[in-house]
Amino acid sequence: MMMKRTVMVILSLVLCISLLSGCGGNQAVSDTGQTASSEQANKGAQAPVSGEPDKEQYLNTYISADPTSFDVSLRSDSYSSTMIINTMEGLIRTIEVDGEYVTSPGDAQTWESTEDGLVWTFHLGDNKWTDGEAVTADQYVYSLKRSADPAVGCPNGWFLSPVLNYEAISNGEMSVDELGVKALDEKTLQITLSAVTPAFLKMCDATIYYPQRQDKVEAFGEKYGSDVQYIISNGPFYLDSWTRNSALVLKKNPNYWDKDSVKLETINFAVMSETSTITSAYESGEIDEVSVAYQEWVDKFTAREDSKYQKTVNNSILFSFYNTKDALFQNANIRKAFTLAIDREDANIMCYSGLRLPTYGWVVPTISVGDTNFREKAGDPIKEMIDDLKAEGKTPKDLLLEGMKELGLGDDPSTLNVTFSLGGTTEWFKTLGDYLQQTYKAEMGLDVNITFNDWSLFYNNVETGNYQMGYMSWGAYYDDPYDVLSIFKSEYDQVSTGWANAEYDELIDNAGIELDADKRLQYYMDAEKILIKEACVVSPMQTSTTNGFFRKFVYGFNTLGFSNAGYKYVYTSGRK
Amino acid sequence: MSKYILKRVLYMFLTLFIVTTLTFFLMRSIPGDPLASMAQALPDQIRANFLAKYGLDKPLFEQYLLYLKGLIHLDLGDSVVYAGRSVSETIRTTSPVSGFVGGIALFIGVGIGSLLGIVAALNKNKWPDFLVIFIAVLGVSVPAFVLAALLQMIFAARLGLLPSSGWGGAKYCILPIVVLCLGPIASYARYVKSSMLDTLDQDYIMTARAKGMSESRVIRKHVLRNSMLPAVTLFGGSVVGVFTGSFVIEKMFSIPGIGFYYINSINNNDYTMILGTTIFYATLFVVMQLIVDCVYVVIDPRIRITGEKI
Amino acid sequence: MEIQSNLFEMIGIEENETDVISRPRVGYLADAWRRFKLNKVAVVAMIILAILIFMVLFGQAISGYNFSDMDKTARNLAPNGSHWFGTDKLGRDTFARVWQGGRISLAIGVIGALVSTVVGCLYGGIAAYIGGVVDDVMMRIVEILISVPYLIVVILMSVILQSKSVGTLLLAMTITSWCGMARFIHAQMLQIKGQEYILAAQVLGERRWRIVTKHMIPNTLSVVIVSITFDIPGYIFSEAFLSFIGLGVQSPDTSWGALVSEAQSTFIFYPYQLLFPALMIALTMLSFTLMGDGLRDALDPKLRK
Repeated sequence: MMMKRTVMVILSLVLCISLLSGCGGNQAVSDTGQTASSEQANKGAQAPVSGEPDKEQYLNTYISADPTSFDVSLRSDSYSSTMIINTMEGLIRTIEVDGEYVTSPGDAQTWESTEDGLVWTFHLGDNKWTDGEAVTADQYVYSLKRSADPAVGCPNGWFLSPVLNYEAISNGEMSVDELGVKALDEKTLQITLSAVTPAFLKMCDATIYYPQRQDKVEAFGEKYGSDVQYIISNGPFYLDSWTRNSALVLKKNPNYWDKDSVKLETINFAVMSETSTITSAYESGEIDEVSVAYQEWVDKFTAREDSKYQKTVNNSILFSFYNTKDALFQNANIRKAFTLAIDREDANIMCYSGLRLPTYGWVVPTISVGDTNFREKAGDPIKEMIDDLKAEGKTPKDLLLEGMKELGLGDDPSTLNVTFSLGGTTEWFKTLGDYLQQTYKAEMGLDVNITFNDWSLFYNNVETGNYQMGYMSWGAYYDDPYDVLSIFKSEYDQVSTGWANAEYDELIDNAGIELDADKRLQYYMDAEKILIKEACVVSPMQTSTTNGFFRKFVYGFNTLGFSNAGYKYVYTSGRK
Repeated sequence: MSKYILKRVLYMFLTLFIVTTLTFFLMRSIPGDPLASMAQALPDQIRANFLAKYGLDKPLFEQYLLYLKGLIHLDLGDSVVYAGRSVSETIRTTSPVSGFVGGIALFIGVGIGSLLGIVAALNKNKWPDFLVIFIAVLGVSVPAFVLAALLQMIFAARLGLLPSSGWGGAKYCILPIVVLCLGPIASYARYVKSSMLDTLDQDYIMTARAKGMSESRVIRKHVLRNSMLPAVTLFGGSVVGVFTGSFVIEKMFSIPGIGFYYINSINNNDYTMILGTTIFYATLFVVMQLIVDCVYVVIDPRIRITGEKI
Repeated sequence: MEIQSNLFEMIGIEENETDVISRPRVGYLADAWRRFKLNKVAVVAMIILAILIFMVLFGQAISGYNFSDMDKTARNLAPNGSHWFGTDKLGRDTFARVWQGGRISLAIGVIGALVSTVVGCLYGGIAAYIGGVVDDVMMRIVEILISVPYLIVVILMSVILQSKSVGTLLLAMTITSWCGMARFIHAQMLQIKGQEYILAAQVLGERRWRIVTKHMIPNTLSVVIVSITFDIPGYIFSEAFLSFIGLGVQSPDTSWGALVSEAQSTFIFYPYQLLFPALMIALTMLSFTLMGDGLRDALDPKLRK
């Protein structure tokens, strides 16, 4: 039973970039696939009622880095995802209505699956590309095959893993024509899965399931997706101009099937990455929305008359993790000691100026199974561990000493040689490193070395097992715990902890094909318990948040993280 | 002289070849690949497919030969990270932007700097001298980042006079130019002053004065010319710096220049971009060196660059 | 006015005193030092530097705080009675941190500048001195070293060299930075080579090495001094970057450069977190600049009285 490896490409990238740049919240607020449950943090933050929409509909906003490409098969970062979500239309769109997720029609007006959940049929509507061509099922077939083709080198290809034969094609064992996708007629698309995938519809929202035009891809060749004249759109907007590393302009697409819902005529994106630039631009009125990563900015902007505040909890977790193949961290008690020595509330205040959400379990608080929020049901494993330890009258240091004894390392923690690797070289990481180092010293009398490396070097060390403990973030792409729990299956081991547990694997496998929500939830809860309480291979710390400010005249923005509406429904009312 | 230049041009190709080779192998000895910086935890197969697409699965030396082969045809390849963006096109479109902003800043910086240096030298240990020292200290100990952020806060956020960042007209250039010209002002002022003081001490200046030449004529005819040498040396490097842009400043002001690619390509392991920008930089640098060496002779005909022994 | 002989008086001559020099013989360096001391500005600069060094050594003890101790209840405080320079975002005392950080920054700034200057002078000097093909090759090597991206070189060094010693840090900092100096000296030497006094010295049969050491090197000194004063803050800042990528100062130790970059993201709210370390860097550079100017005057043979 294998498929769906969770694909965090997009999110993890946003996170590492935002962490690298030292200001966690610098992705555009409406970066889709980012934020989940919304927390109406301020009075009237999301005033649902507005006056008459303005005559002139435009929005000035920013994006934190230049998108890599508009080619849905080749793009690799969250910034291009932000752009593609606005310029392209997929089969469906996850939008939000009154704070609830709704799967709304996209190119597909209706869809159904067979009873066993293996074959999905999508009936396309009358959407058109910017050049007037109709959107057809063939274009979907072409697009999915192109992404699956090993010769194309698609970095997000694994998102197609539920589709029949994807794995074999990717391994080069099968021709790309065997991919489980076909056009029954011009307007009917059929996708066959290799196994039941409860979250498949949620996954189809991903940009990799968007259509592509074979004629254009072939005509533009290598240039496809790299500049205005090499891009063709079927979404609510199209790319009008692109000044690399400086600005992008989107215009409303007159051929879009649902153009009546789209109100904005123009969206101006400035490429801005530095907090000082972004905040100055917001203060001077150059941009209409901003998201900040420090409490000081939150306070400053909250005081502004012209702004409304929207705090959203994201789907990404920040955590430390252990190399279970390491001589020291092979011991579960030692891992537990390091996990429990950190006060998550304290760390949140010291390192994230209190803006993030202290988290005590692996599955982020935004994820649900069916209608049940996972975290609420599953409780807080780490809190329980802390309480249990207290009840036994022990401290994390005692756990460390126990572990050392088990390994025959004596009873002096200061003799241990521990290196904590961080994947960033900005002051933000420096603060975190200093904090962790001091805390471990205070709690356990242990001198931890902190090393800082750029992300790619850090990640290379992690992947090759050349680390003891590390710190990074992982984002969920879709709303199901499978997404974040399956990465610890021994066959994937995507955090490179070297940990393998047959019972855990089995629970995840069972959950992956279980259509009954309650049973699935139970499997996931049991699995998380093994992961955190028994084995303790990861130490969840915080869930990231986005702290957005919007001008009071901006309406219709996303407040839920898994929303994929982009700027489709955004409009202004009362702009002066 | 022309023989000398011809020789230098030949050396130039050798230099560029060595730079390319060194950079190629050094860069490839850093662990990681372009995918490592794009995303985490890709399945091995995806990674293999990606690397194969860009020919990164071939033996290293073969890749090197392939790159050289492309280079002979002036083909710098496509970016590995930014799909479909050709490296040479990126350099062609972004370096003029950096050159424009940086060029104006350098022009202003060298002008004001040299002027301050001259005034300081003629007023040694008086206030102009200390002003120069003050500017130099300020220009170096206040990070450009801080200065840029302050200017943005004052002129964009508070006063609303200028845009905080962006590109597309004179008003966008003012703040970055102010930040960028501070460095040149500081260094040129100090070097020119110092060099001028040296020249003023020379015997031939005394001779000129003794001949009854007016002071202003002494300065113009003898002192200035003979004290420009450090400035010229510095200038060679500055011009190259202008076309390679400033990473921090361009990033802070959203200027679509080339500075971004120098740093980012290395952090992203965007191999072709690293090599392309390095070759661009090296070519400019080597050519500027040659020009600077020739200018030495023009300002001081006694200089023999063609390499006689003492 | 007419000169009359009665205005003059015969004082005689004491044969045994003709060899006596009225002023004691003063060596070149001693005389330079004497004249340096007369330069008030330079002396003030030296005192500033002495104070900095003193505070760097004992400042942390004076503050009564340990530079690495966090205090959750005292985050981001403005300068006050108990925290003279305020505190940072982890509640650490900035006064203690500034002086602790100064240890590495001052040392690295000065040593780094000196090392690269000495290497650069020697290299540029030798190239210009020997001339010919050797000169050509040596200067092309400089071009190559400057052209290979520095970032790649240091990242590679951080991967290969696992040592965190100050020596490693110095190596990473100076590995290519001497090239600029070498180019300067090379150009200066070429100019000086053509000067009349060199020709005169040659004609007088002065030996080549004496021409170089006695005439050429001293005449490049003013440029060298300026370059050193710019190098010092440059090294202080680049140390912060190199420490980040694992070469050099490791947490919890800190430096001025690190303090400045830590303070950058919130300096609009807490300017003093940035001000104090930046001020120390500025003072260091200022004192070296003023001392350099004083030194230049003192060493200038023509100003010798």
